Amino acid sequence: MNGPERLTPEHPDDRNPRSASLDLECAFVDDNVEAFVLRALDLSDQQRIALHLRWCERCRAVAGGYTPIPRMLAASAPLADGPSPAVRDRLMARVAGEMASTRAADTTATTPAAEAAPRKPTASRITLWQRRILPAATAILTIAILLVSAWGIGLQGEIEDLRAQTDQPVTFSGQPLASPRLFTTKPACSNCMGVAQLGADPGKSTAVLMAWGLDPNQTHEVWCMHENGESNRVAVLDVNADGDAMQTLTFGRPIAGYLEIRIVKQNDATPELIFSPKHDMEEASNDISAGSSSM
Amino acid sequence: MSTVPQSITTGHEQDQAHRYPDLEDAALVALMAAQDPKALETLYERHARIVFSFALRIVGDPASAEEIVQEAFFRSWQQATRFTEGRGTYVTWLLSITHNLAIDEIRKRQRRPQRADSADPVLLLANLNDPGLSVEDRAVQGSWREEIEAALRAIPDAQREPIELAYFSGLTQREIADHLGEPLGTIKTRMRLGMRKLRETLEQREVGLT
Repeated sequence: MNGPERLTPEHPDDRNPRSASLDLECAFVDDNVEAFVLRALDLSDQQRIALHLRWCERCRAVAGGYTPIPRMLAASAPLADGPSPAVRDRLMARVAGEMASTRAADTTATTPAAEAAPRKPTASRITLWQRRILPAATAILTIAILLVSAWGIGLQGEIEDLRAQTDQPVTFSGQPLASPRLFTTKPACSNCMGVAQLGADPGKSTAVLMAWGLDPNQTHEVWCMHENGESNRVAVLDVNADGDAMQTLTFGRPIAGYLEIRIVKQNDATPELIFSPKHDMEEASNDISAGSSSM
Repeated sequence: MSTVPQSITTGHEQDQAHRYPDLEDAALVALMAAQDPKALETLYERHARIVFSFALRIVGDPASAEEIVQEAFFRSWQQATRFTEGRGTYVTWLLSITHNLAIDEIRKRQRRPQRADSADPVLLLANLNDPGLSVEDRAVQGSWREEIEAALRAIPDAQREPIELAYFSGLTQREIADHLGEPLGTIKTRMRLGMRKLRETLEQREVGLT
């Protein structure tokens, strides 16, 4: 493979003091972008670039320059006469059948007997979860993160480690960084029905994740992007039939250094839920500096 | 992106309210998201031929291609609400679904593992460079087809082959190297050179890499 070759004359991050680590990912994109748009990379490399592109505008532009090619390859197929009329008939019959079964399900769902039937997550169901189950689950999660935080007491040492690893001054105005806290996701799209909380000591790399309202028919993954430019898949979520998941996650670095932690559908470019630990910590730090206490 | 018209009605009222063939794809997808089967039917009439041609190019037999066409349109019906959040043109999205289905079909036939999909690059980047009239539409209309074919012919066989094996057979670079009995590095280099040459050629021919 040839060495990294810049496809654009100026890298937008060249003026960024942290560009060296970001450049590693950008150079990887430069080396593999042609294979990426053809989906010819091994899965891990394919996902590595896909995740990087979600954050890096410069590499999105580079890759975007190649995406017309697969589209043109698709359009280059010799034009055939078209499918037989029976295909359209089967399609429309299938759609009619699905609409009928949806209407029947909606009607049945209004009767008490429907309570036991399996359902997909809905807005009202999420509300129920949030009203009844979420408080109890949060209590469990709080206990869990207290256990996580009990794994290490060396508070000052943790702060020093964090300073060294993030390469950024850590100024949390006297508030103990090692205090466990709950991070809550924000939905990444208007259709994203899930909600999740991450319990963690921000100075540590272990966290407990609880999520509700995920689509049980989809495979969900947890991806993270560190402020140093690293992006990794952390785990595949074990989502139960009700769309809930709870598991311990181990990150490569302390939680506080992550710009984003995302829950994404494996087959979908759109993230479902996003944690922003670094932003949340900075906001909390600002609140503390301003005299309020949010931690 | 068009939104669902405010006065969605049903049945005959819809037929009177919308002149479906005159509506753009995005408006039809919005209607489809509101569970209007007439919108799907219109989109099918408009795009079934290119979807079938594309599927046939990959799987090789009409019966399988027809099954893929039906499945691709049905999935677009089911997922129409998600499309409205910005995924480029409908036909780009539809062909991406078709591509996945067709590649899975041939991998199944060859007893290769189904492809564990990552995000589709074309969809991931669709909002960057999807022109109003899509590349695919123009190709169907014939205005760009010759240009595209000429651009493909312009790159050496050794470079075009890995590109076509990746795209039309769903092979990874590693699988292509095994298939052709060439070192992996050679395949990577040929693919990169071929893609760059293809891009340059298309740009020179002004085939609209916008």
